[in-house]
Amino acid sequence: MDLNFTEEQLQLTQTLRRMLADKCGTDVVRKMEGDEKGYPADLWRAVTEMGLPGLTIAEEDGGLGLGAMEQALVFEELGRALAPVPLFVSSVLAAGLLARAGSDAQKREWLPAIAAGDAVLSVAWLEPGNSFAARGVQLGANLEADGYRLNGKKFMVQFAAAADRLIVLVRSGPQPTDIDLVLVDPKASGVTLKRHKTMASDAQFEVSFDNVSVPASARIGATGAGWEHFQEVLTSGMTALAAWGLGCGEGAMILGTTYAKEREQFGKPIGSFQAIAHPFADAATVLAGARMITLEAAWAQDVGRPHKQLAMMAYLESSDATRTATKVSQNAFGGIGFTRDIDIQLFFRRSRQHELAWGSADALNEEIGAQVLAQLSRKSAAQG
Amino acid sequence: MDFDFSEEQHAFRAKAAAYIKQVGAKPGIAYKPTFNAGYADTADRKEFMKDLGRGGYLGLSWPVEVGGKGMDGVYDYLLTEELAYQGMPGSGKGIGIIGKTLLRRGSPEQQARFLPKILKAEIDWAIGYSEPDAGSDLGALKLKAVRDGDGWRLNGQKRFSSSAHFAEWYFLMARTHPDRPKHKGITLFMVEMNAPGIQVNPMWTIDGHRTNEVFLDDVWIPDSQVVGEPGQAFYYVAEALDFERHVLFPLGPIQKLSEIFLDWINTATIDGEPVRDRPEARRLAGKIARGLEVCRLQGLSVLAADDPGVATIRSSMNKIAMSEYGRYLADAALEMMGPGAWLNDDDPDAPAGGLYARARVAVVIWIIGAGSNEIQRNIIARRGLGLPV
Repeated sequence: MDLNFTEEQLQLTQTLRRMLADKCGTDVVRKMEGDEKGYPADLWRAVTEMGLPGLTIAEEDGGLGLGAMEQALVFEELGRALAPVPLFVSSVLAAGLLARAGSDAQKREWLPAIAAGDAVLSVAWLEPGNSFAARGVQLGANLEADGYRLNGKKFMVQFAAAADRLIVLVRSGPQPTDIDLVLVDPKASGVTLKRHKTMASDAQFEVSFDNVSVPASARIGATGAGWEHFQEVLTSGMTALAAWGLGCGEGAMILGTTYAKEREQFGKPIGSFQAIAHPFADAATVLAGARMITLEAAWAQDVGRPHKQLAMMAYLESSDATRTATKVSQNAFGGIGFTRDIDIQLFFRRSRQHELAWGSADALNEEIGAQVLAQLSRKSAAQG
Repeated sequence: MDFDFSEEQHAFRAKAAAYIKQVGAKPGIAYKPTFNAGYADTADRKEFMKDLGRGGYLGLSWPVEVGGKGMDGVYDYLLTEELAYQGMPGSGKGIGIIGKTLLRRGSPEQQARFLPKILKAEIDWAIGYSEPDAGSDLGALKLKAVRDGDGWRLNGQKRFSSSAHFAEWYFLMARTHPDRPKHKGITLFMVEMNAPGIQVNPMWTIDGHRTNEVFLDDVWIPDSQVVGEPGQAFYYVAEALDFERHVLFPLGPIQKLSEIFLDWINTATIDGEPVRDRPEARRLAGKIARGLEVCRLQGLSVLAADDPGVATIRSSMNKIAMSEYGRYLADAALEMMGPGAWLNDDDPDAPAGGLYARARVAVVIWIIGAGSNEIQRNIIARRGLGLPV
């Protein structure tokens, strides 16, 4: 057992933290709230110079070929700075889907471009009125001789206005998981975008498809296999989501504890009151535990052990911990904390949205439970 | 980074597990996993401890020169976990904080006198720190020791001295220098429990374990039974804790309680329907599995912390995480079981052996004992977060 990072991993964290302190102060975060594109050019350039869009893309596809541990460390730093960049949708989800299921031509066209930061892809999954489950994907896609014809609506599509392509989950048959993945240009004829107004004021869009033609060659993987590919990539990606959440919680804790040391009421710093200090201690405890299970999930993935259950646990645990950490930190600011001027609200609003955005906690808990109980049944059957 | 133990360490635990199972097979040695099975308090359990010594499992991390095995602390952790998981007595205060203190601070005579017996589990110890007016504020302890010839005369009262009713020796802090600042006037003594002037009265815990209050009335202790320098006890006790943090709060009991409950969800029926068919039962199973894994990792963080300052904070976090999870587990199990959940573990009709009714009561001792969770929060806030609390 060895819970130390390598020199290279520590270096990566430090370099990225320095860069974000320089390029991504909260003034930048605020400026991007409501911005159509959603991320600033010079931050994206700096992220690209560090090779982060290609962090986990294979070297032969133009990336750095690093693992889930490095990815977790990067997302933790991005969360601490609330960095508005499309790395999760483009480099984790889209690149992950292409690497897993894309044709050689699709990989050649998109992976090096994503890795270089020249192309940004996003994923169009969720639909108005529907859940996170497979049956929530209802967008019609008639497969005709010349390809698909898409009709319907997606929503909560991140960075859609800036995206070169969207990977759209479409319904290809009556069974719940009859789902295909198709690459669509959001500027294609028949596609219209409408910006949402979200809790985090980030760049999310409703995307409407009106008789949009997509060639069959734009499908990623086999027909009917889309849901499985998507679930695999998203579930592994939950380690990165967990890490981003942790970073957001840690960033909030720094603001909150710093304020609690400076702010005086009743003649002393409010951090000297147990009513303020103890909730911080509890938040630090749950954050520390969530960080451990996030790192364990990343480690398991990197060494080729089963990691998806751990990744789901990490996302849930990180969400719980970050909700606590941002709540406690927001609370410590008292009255001034509920003004727009104070930065803590940036963390508070984003943490809640982040934990809601990629799956239902009830469904994930239930899935983990079902797996655990099935494992238990197999074990008792084996023992007779 | 590597979250797994080495092959050698896995093999050690497997071998220890088999040995413990074999020598602990007699009835009355293994206790139920309701948090507080760690103390040996029967003749059979004391014999089991001697078997552990005979098997070479005591003093794993002690230096070779004094009869130890010179092994890394990780082996203490693995042994402690296995003992706790099987509901056995822990390897004890003698091997742990007392032995480690004697190794560093004891005189050569004290080491020669006590260490070989500790390694054979021939001594049971009680610890006398807490007093009626010195609980969380341990530095306020008042039990008085006054210079008398070549020794000291002790008068006062201790509380929560577990094992004092069967222990041979008492490891005790007393105030020797009332004129000094409160943490610097305390001295460590080793007292024979059968010395004249000692009276041990039972205090029964709400989960049915015996602890004690102990009265000392003019008990005389020779200088040869003072540990280290007079006035330094508080420092020694803190130092000993630094060596033992990774074995203070083993996961074993809640691991067992989690496993038994998951098995209950998987096999029980209510209203003729399998419990596992309920979505809320599966959700709870997921939360239990996650909570248990996070607790395990909190424990590993203590084990992996090289810096004692970090280990202190991680240990406080571990204690809070495990005890709060224990309470959550017991509460959630009781709610899921429905009518009859409140039958105790001594009622043969209790679902899942009544373990959770018992655990829900016993967990209070985990939350308060060994430094209340409020004290742990002070430590985390002050040392971890730099808050002026």
